Amino acid sequence: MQLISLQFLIFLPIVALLNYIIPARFRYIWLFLTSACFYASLDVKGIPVLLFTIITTYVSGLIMEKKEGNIRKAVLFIAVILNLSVLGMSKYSGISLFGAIGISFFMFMAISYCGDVYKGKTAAEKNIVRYALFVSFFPNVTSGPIERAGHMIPQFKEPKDFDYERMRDGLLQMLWGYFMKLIIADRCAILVASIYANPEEFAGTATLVGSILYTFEIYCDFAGYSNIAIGCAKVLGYDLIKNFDSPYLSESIAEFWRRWHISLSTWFRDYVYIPLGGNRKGTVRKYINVLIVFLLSGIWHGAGLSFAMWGLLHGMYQVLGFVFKPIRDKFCSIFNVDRKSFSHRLLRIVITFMLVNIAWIFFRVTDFKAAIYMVSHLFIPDPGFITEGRLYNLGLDRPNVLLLAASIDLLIAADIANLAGISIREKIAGQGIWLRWFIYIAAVVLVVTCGIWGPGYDETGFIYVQF
Amino acid sequence: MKKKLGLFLKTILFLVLLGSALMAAMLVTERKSSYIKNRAFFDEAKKDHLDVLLLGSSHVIDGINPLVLYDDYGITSYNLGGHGSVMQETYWTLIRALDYVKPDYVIVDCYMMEKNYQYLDVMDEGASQDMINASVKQLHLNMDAFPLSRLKIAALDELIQSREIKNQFLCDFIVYHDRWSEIDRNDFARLTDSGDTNKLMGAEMQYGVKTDVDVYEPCQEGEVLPEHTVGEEYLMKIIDECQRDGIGILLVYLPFSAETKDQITANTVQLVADKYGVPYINMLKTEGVIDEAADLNDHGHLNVQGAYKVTEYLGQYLNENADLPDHRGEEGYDNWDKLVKRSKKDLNNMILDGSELRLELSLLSNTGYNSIIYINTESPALEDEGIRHLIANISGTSRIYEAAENKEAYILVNDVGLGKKYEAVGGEVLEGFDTSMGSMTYIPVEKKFRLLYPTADESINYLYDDEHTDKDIQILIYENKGDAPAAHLYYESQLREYQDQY
Repeated sequence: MQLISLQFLIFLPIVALLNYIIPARFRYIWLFLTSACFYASLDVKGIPVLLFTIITTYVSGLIMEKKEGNIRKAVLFIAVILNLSVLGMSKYSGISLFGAIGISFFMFMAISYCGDVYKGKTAAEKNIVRYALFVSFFPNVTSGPIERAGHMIPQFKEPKDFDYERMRDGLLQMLWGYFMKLIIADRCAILVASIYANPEEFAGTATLVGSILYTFEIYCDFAGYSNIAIGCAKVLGYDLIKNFDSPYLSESIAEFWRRWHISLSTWFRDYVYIPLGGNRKGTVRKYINVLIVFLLSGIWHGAGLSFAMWGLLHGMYQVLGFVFKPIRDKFCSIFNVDRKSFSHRLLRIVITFMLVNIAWIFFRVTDFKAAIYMVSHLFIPDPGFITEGRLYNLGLDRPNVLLLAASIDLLIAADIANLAGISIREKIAGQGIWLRWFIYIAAVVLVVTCGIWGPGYDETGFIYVQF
Repeated sequence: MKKKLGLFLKTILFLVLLGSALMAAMLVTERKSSYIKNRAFFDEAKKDHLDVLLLGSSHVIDGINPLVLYDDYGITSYNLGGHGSVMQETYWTLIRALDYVKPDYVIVDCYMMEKNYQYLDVMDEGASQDMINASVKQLHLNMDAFPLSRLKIAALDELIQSREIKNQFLCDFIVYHDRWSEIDRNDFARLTDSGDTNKLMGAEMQYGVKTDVDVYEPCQEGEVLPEHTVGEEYLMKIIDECQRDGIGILLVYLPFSAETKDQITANTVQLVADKYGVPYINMLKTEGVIDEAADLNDHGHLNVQGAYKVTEYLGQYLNENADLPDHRGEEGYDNWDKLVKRSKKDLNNMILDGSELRLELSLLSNTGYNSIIYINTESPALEDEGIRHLIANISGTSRIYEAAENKEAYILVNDVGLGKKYEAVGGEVLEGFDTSMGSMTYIPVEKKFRLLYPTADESINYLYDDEHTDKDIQILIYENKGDAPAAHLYYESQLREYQDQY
C-alpha cells in the first residue's frame, strides 16, 4: 500500500475516523498499530530491521538518561554504530537480510533521538509504543520528512482534537502533492527516461530539456511525496516539519540546501557538521567539513560513484562560492551592481538552478561517462528538437507536453507565491464557497483524469523510496 | 451543535458534487465503442422488442445484419457478436443479455470453438503479449457498457485471471482516464446520452471486396477435434442454458476462407449439435450461399454483400423453422423502420458515390440500380481476374473474358427496371436497345472515342468527355427516361489501383 494507491485512499479515512473517535490518551496505540500494518503491507521482511532500530535506540535512550559520563557516550556510540552498520550493510553490501523500505529515514530519526537524549535536548521516552510510533509513523516512515523526537513525541502525548480547518488544509496539501507527483513528476519521467536512455542520440537541446525535466521530476516526485505525507499527518492532527521551501528559487547553493530536503540538511548540520566543528575551527577546516557533509549526503543516497560525485559537486559549489566571494563582491562594487535588483537576483537564481541541474545529471545516470558526455553536450543548440516536433515522439503527445508545460508554470507560480509568504491554500480557503468548491473539485478531477496512473504504472515508483 | 450540523451537511453536499464531477469525467473519458455497440440493445430489450439474439465473434458482427432480417422477414434481432469473442465470452454475453431480455431464439456462431484455454489474459502457450493485450481490449467492447453487477463479476472470474486486469473491467476509468487528450464532442454527448450509437442493431458492415480466393488443404471427411476443449464445454453450457429457459437455438458456422483447423472445428460442432438434438448449419459446406471471390471483406470476414446473403439464408431458415412474429408495420416498431430506411439510404449514397471499383461492382450485382459498365480497349482491368469475376456476376455471361482475351473494349448495360442486359465486345455496335432511359445506341469508334447516346438525340454522348480521356473505366447509374444519369463514375486502372477520379 503506497501513498498513491487506491488502498491508501481507503485506508486513510478509516484510520482518521477511528483516530478521532478513540480517546486521546489511547490514540498513539491505534496509530502505532495502523503504522505497523502499513509498513507490513509495504515490506514484511523489513519489520525485523525496523524493530531492531526501535529496540536498540529505545533502550539506549533509557540507559543514557539514567547513566552519566563515559557510559552514556559508550551507549550512544554503540547504538549509532549498530544502526549505521545495519544501514551500511543494507545499502552497500547488497545483503537483502538487512534491507528495509525507508531504512535511511527511520534510522536517521532514531539516531537523532539518541543524539538528542545524549545532549539532553530531549527526554528519553519511557513508553515503548509511543517511541515505536515516532520511528514508524506511517506518513513519513518510508521517505521522511526525517522528524525529531522533540517535535513529534509531545504531539503523540497530547494529540489535538478534530479541527475542520486543519483537516481541509491537510487534504489540500495532499492534493497538491498528488498533483506534483502524478501530473508533473510522472509525466517528466516518461520524457526523461527516453532521453537518458540514449544520451548520444539526444545530444544538444534535447539533453538540456531532458536534464531540466529531470530537475523538475525529482523535485515534484520527492516534494510531492513530502506534501502527501505532511498533509496526511495533518489530517490525523499532527504537524510534520516542512521539507521543501521553493528550492529552485534559491539564489545560491547554500540557500538551495536550506530549502531542499530540509529535514536531511538540518540532520547533517546538527549531527555531522556541527559535531565536526562546523565553522568554528578555521576556514580550511570549515571547507573540509562542508565537503565531508556533502560527500556523506551523496553516499546516503546510494553506493554508486554518481551519488558521491553529486554530493561532492554540491560541496565544491559551496566551497568555491566561499573562495570566490571576495572577487564577486569586488566585481559588484566596480560595476556598481545593485544586488537587490530583480535582474541580479534573477541571474543568481538562474545560475544556481543550472548548477543544481548539472549536479542532478550525475545523480540520474548510472554511468559516469554518460554524465560527462551529457554535461559537455548540454549547450549545443539543436532547436529542431522542439520546432520539428521531435519532442513529441518520446512517449508524450502534444496535449500531454502542453499540460506538462502548463503544470510546471503553475508550480513555479506557486513557489514564487510561497517565497513571497503567500499561502495559496489559505487564499483559496478564503474565497466564497462556490469558487472555493469549484477549485477543489476541478483540482481533484484534473489530478484523477490527467494523472499518470493505471495499467503499467508502477505505484512504488517514488524516487526517494529507494533511498 | 448547529454549526457542526451545518458543517456536516456542507461536507455531504461537497462530496455529492465531487462524486458527480468524477462520474462525469468517467463518462466523458470512457472509450465509447461498447456504449455505441450496445446502447440500442438496452433500449430494445427494455421495450421487449428482441425476439432473436445473434451471438459469436466478429464473424457475426460483420456477417449477420439484423436490419435485413427485419426488412425482409419482420424478425427483430440484436447482434451481440464480440470482436475476438471465444465461446466462454459468448456464453457470458448470453447470460448478461438474458438479464435484460428473454428472446425466443438464439443463433450462435461456433467459430473458435477449438480454443482450449480458460483465461483471456493467459491464453495458451503460443500466445504473444500483443495477442493477449488485443484479447483483453476486445473484451472491453463487450463488457464496458454493462453496469457493474454480480453477473459481470462472475463473468470476469471465469474470463480473466489477473486481479489487476479484472479491476480494469470493474472500473474502466483505470484504463480510460488516459483518453483525456483525445476526447471530442461525441465524448461529451455521453453526458446527455445523446452520442453516436450503432445504427445496425449491433452489426457492423464491411465494405472491402476480396477477390483472390485463399486455398487451404481440406480436412478429411468427418474429421473432428482430438480433444474436448474449453470452447466446446462453453458451447454445451450455452445450449443447456437455452434449453433450460425454453429458448430456441440454432448453431451455425458462418462462411469465410476456412483453414483446415476451422473445417475440423466446424465438423466437431455437428457432434455437439447431434448430442443435444439442436439444429446446426455448417455454412462452410453449404453450397451457393456466398461467392468467396466476391463476398468476403478479408480472409475471415464477410463484406456487406456476403452479410446480406448469409442473413437472407438465416432469415429463410427462421421463417420456415421458428415461429417468430412478423413485426413489420406493428405499432412501436417505427424505430426499426427508420433504421432500415436510413441503412438503405446510406447504401444508395455509397453506390452513387462509387469510391471503390470492386465495391461498386459488388453492390451493383445485387441492387435495383440500372447501370452501364464500360471498359476501354487494353485496360489493365481486363487482366484482373477479380474485376472480370465481379462483372461476370452482373452479366451472368462470360463475355468479359472474351473481351479480356483480345484486350478489346467491353460494355455491359444492366437494366434492372426492364430486366434486360446487353453486352458488346470490341467493335460490336448496340443499336436502338431499350432501356429505362429510353432507346439507346452504342457505337465504338476508336480507343479514345466511343458513342453512347439516346437514339433520339445524337447530340448527347455519355461515354466521352474531354476531361476524362485517360480514364479507362466508366460506370453510369441511371434511373428513368428523361433523367440524366444519377451518377457517372470514372476509374483509372493503372497499377491495378482503381481510383475514382471524376
